Amino acid sequence: MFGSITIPFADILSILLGQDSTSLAFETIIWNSRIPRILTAILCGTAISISGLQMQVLFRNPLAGPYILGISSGASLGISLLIMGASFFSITSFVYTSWTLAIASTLGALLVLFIVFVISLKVKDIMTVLIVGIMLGSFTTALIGVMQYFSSADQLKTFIIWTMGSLDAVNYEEISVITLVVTIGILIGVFNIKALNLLLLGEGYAKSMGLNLFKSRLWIILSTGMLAGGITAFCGPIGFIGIVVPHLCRIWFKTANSKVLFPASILMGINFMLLSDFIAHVPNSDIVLPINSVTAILGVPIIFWMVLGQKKISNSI
Amino acid sequence: MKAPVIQLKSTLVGYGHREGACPIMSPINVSVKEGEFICLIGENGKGKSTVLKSISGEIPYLSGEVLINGKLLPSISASELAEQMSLVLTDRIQIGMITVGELVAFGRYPFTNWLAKMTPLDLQIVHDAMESCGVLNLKDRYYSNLSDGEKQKVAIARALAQQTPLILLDEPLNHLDLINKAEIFSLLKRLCVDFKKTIVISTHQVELALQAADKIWLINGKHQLIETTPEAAIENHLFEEAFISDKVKFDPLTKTFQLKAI
Repeated sequence: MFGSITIPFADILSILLGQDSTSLAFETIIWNSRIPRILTAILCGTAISISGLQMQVLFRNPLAGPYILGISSGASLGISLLIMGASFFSITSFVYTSWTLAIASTLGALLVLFIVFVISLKVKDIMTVLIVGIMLGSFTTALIGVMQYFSSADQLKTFIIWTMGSLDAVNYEEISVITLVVTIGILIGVFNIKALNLLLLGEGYAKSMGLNLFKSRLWIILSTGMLAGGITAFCGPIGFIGIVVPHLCRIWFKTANSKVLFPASILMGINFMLLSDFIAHVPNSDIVLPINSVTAILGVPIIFWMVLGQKKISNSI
Repeated sequence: MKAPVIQLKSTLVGYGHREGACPIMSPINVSVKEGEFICLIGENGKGKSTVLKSISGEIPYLSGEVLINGKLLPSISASELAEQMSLVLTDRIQIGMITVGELVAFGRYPFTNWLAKMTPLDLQIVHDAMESCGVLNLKDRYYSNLSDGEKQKVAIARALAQQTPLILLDEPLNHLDLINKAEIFSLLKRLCVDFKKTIVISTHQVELALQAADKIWLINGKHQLIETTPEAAIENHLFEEAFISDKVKFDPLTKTFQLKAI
């Protein structure tokens, strides 16, 4: 409830209850800026944390997350193809809608996710897969760079602002699209919690307990792609929450059981995202920091602390 | 008449299913009855794991037939197989922050609903499985913090919780000390006698196998898998043929391997 303008608490209450407040501007700010922002933060925290949890189990890799494995870059590639490629076919007005953004982003995310996954089947080494993911991320970023070179100043600006990530620019129409994508992604995820736990034991055991490895993995990838892609489409690539939140939950609840971690990651992810948003809108000032800078500044020290201090990060999944 | 729990009819096992068959031993013909304790013995690299993996369906066999309870293995669905056969694999379970109780409970997953909800019956089965394997006191400890011997017992408890008539174990005694080896061997034997479980285990512990096994599957130097009993194996000098070395020799009198010269 903090931002560049301080609204008295009594006014906030009366606005939320649908009563009159001291200023009409307050009403506009609450309904058109702060509520959408909070809703977006909630959706974003939920989606990114769960996609991180799923990827960590799927790749059996404690450092997996949508940002580090290049999934967010894949989504960015989808978006940049849409923003900068659309004019190439001169169909701008028709192409640029909430839905096309979401679809382009999810497809981009799924593409990278799929490549990393196929490689992870061939190469068992955790670190190699991680490096492959980072390389793929760099490669997609390079492709985006090439496209940026050939695009107009306007398109470039649109895209650069998008990459900085923001929860502000999201309106109710976009929120409804995100809600739908995230809800489907989470539902698929819920149906695969059991599979996540079986995958903890390794392929051989999972299979011997009747799990259809191929099908389960495909569903989990689809869910992860939708969650990471859907959010990236509207909020930009948001880093480190996907890695950090599931680990914080593991440390907090002292378990790797997905039945606990799934709901815990959602709640922790929401809180983490709301906190990041709160910090991004430096209270009582006009400053609005890019949200992915805030998540990185919060997240990276936590990762350092886990890797150096806990020493058990590789053994925690 | 009840069908054998496992039956192999001129089964060829090996690798390279697509690029042309590459069998690693002569066709296998064996049959296992309910409640039998089978020890699969052979030198490293002779194909013990391949035989077990072909029976568990982890790798496809090349030709012939593998029947589980009278049904052709490839025609059994994964979920159906999970109710008939449980495994203890050689690959270590790399799992952190999961308690022994939770890990053994994973064995109930083939029987639980989509959210893996445990019924009181499931919990009882998990409790009993841990008790049978002597790991009930470790229930709340993390699996990753256990010793090798404890981990192996927990892995067997998990298989037991799956309540399958057949259990396959691939070298479960590796890296264990003498006491732990003996404990696990007698535990497995007890499961066969008390619960009528059918157990196939691959092992290098010939001495223990000779005392406990109902049957020995011996992979010899000619790449044949011979089904025999401990007594017949000794009488027919099968171990002398299977383990040819100028350093060690099987002594039929003491039923142990002896160094030829130091």
